[in-house]
Amino acid sequence: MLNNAQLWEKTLFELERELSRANFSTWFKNTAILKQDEGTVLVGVPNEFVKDWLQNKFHKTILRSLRSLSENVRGLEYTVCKVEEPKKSAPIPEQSAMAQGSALPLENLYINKEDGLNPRYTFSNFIIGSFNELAYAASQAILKKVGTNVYNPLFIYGNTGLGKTHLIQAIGNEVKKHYPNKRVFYTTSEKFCVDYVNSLSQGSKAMANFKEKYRKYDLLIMDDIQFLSNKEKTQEELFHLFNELYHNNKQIIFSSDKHPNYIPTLEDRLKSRFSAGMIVDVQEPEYESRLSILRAKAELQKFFPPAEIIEYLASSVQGNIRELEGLLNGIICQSELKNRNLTLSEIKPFIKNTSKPKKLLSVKEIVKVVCDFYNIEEAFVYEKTRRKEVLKPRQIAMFLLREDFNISYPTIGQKLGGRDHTTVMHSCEKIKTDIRNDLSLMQEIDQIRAIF
Amino acid sequence: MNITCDRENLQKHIMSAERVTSKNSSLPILNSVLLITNNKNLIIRSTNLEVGVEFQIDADIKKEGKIAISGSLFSNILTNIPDEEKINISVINNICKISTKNKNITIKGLEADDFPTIPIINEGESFTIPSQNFIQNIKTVLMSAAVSDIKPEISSVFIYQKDKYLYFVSTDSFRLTEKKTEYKGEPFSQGIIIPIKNIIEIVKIFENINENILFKITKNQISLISKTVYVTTRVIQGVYPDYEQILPKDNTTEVVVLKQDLINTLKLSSLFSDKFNKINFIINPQEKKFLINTKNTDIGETETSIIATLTGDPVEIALNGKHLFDCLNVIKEDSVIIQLNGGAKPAVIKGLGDQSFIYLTMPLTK
Repeated sequence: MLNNAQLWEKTLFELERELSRANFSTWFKNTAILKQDEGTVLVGVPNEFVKDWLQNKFHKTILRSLRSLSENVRGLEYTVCKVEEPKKSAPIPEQSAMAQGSALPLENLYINKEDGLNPRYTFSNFIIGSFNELAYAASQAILKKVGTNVYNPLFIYGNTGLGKTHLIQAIGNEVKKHYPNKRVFYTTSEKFCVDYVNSLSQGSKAMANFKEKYRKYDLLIMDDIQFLSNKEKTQEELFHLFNELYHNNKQIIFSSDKHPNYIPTLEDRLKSRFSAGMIVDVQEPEYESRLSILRAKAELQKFFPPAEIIEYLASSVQGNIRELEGLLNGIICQSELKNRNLTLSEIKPFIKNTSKPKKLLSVKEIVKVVCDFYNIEEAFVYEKTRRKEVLKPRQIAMFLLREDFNISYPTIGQKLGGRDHTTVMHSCEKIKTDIRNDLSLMQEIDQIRAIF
Repeated sequence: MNITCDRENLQKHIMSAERVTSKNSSLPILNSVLLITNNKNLIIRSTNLEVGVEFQIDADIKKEGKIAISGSLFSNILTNIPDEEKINISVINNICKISTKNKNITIKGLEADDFPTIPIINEGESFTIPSQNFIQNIKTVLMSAAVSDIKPEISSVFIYQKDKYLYFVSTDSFRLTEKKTEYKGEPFSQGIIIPIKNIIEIVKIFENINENILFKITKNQISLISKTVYVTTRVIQGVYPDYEQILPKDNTTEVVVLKQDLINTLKLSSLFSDKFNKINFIINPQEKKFLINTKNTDIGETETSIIATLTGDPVEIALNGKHLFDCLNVIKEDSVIIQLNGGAKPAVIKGLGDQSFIYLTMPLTK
């Protein structure tokens, strides 16, 4: 079967012979087939005038040409949309740009008020690595069949600054592009909550409007769902909204910084519904991904630092993409100030400054935090007891001391009641393997880490 | 078709309609205006596929019918028979006969059925505003819309409703104008982005009309309906930048100055400004100093001090003279306020006592 572009090209070729040149160039400029769906061809046209005219005057002619090329064409519909013209390379004269001074900072303010999406977030500037490929694959599956797929709802979770918002907004933008008829809406749980509270205070008509507003969408994206914890009534409203959308095969996408099961005071009925579709996590990017993210970001800013600098940044800054971006911006700013590329030695202190200052804690303090968390007497940890409720906190304390604070095995052993360094090694290994199988342990450790 | 109507009235509307015909289209029908009879009225329609317009004028209809004739030719004919009061138009087989008391003109018309239909909008949100109010507000913001169409959403005028106001905004990303006007009708949520070329046509159409305009809004097309005129235009499907975030909420320096003083000084100073229209301001409230100087290495330089009320921190800033003129031209008040936040942040200009108008312009690099 011919793809959309080929089919339209051949159709236009036929039409060109039938119509006068003037007619053809006036009415068929900037048109394209947007999609074919069960025999119905959707043609995108630049404006309502063209839409009316094609419908009234050329409908039969176009349909005939389409049928002769592709047998399964049954119907033909038109819609007004922006058909992308081949990009004209219009270089802005450099001089005038300079003369004008700097521009008003409008670039980052393109947020569509109607659907809440920021058009800057697209898949074309989304970097895929092993850390997010599952989430990406799920989003692609959604794009193929919005609503009626097994990935409904899609629940994406992961730490802050790992590109969750980018991904879900990109899905929204892409759906908007490919399915102009689908209504997309992006909101955060906080906005949803405010909206709900406002409509509550304005009486029953506003409440009905509120319900109506959210139920009409074909794709609802809700960001940062974790903020719904402790908001019972909003949760209840979301629950009803969810049911309504889900039963009508509307696509729903959520994001959160935690797995739904670990969002505190989230109602069970919501948890189970979130888990009904697909839950994917976005991990921290590994070295290669960080490298390509940095390269892409630098290119966007038209900044081309030496490769070694990018590599150094990627290797020395862990985790969070937002922080990576911040660092890169800092470096760009510095080198613009100095009007040359920075050297590696200039960058090193810069990174040191911006990386999070690690608090200096004594071993005793760390042990205290762990003990407080598990509610046991601190003294037990230092004793020779092997009771279960003591054993686990002790092992976790050792693990944290080693992993997060880089204290040597013998020192840890010595400080925690004069144990052998092999005991410590065993404890660390044990926690490491347990984490993989025991989600709740992982959660506990994360929570303890958050206290430091 | 056979009709009789008032020549002056017809001429006025044909000239208006002729403006919206396509000027250099390869399709001759688009250079035409379409005449259709409708009960007691004559309808004049024209379009350039961006904007479509329909005027309804009184006429004595003897026989119904329709014809498309060249807009420029028809309007030239009407201009050149200024003495005639009544004019008769009859059409047989697409030949159009124009006759007055002592003139007979025959012109070749085109098949009316080949004339494009213009979209009628029945759905969507709507609001009403008096035409003159609308025109005044649009004219206030027209000057700062971007000219090039690299970014279609900013070579436009943006209209939206918030709280009790209608807002009109334009920006070319170096300056921005916001004008608001009180609005008491039903709220509507969709902002409208009308391309600058189209809005200029619309301003011209409604310039001499004093009626209420009903706006009907859909995603990619809007229509403006008044008692005798129907206009429809494409609108930009896109996002207008959320410009409110860059409007400064505060300022560190404030200047209040007589508008005429400033205009006179700018006129003199711009004789010496460089090709970027750069005009330097030196403001020092402590020393009560408000200096404007320009310098051109090829010509010479000028420095003027103006009496003004100054408050806040001392600052030096370079602004684009053309941007200043554009803005001062639309300010009606006698005094203007210039608010600054240092030499690198945008300058805000308002009329003294006018809360409805804000003008923002970026400083030039020194």
